[in-house]
Amino acid sequence: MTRIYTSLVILFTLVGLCTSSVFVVDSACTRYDAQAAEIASALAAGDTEEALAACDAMQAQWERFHSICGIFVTGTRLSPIHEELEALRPMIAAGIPESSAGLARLRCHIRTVSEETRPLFWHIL
Amino acid sequence: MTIILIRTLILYALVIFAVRLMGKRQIGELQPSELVVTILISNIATFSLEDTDIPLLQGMLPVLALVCFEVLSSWCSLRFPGFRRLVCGSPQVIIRDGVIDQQMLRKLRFSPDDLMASLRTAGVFSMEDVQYAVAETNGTVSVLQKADAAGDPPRMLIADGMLREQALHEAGLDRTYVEQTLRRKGLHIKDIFLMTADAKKHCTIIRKEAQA
Repeated sequence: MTRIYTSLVILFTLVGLCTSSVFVVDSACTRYDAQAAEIASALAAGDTEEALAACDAMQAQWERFHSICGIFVTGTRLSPIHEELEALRPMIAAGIPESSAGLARLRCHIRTVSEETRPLFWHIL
Repeated sequence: MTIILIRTLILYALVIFAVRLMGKRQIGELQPSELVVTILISNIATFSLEDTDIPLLQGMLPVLALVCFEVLSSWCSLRFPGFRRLVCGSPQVIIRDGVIDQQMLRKLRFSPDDLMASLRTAGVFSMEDVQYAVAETNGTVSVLQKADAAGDPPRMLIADGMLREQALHEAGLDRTYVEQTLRRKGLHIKDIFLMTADAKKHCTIIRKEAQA
């Protein structure tokens, strides 16, 4: 019976880990998306200073969460977010119009990570 | 490189743990479900070793989950005969009283060459020496030779406290006979770990041990 109990404990741990990973990744992605929306609205209002400040805050949070997220999400999914985020600040600072497009790509990557972590029927298939 | 080395070490330890958790049965002859788990584990472990982009946890999770499913499935097989038949199948008699059941051989997709090879593996080189042969669920063939045979091989009437109606029917016995036999010894079906009976109604009864 020891094996049965060990298996049950492992299974419940795995289920707990998987469920919590969905919530952790999803809440982080929702937060980043909100921050990206903040940058987008600042850019639309022409407030570069506020956009840069929001971008710095987002980058700082991303640096903290990146390693935790790497436990649950494959590196190929996280790299594009990292790259877009790195490129975004210099583009905003230089006033390059493509920064809006970069921001849109960043939000798209963030949403993809969040959506693909959810155990939805079509993702399972 | 260092990462791959560390990951290899972790996965090596994990697979050893997985095989130990599955138990000693795994090392010998494999049941269908065990074979599936073994194949899948070896593949999954390789993916995580080769691709460092895949988080180690994602490689470890399916290995652990598969082993847990296997352990729970073997427990269910022990408790529920129907589940066991569904997952592992049931042993099939392919030679009865020296006569080959050709229909069963076709059903099992056993060619005459396969049959002869299995008999040779069991140490029998002539069909005439075979009284009974049973294709077991793990793919091996058990052989009862005529020289050793004293009629039909014993049937397992009770396994782990559960009466096997099919075996009763094959042995030409009924539930009443079993219950009466046990009652004479002051026992009940659920107290029995194993009960077999041969054609001469000679019964072997092994009681369940008290669980620690």
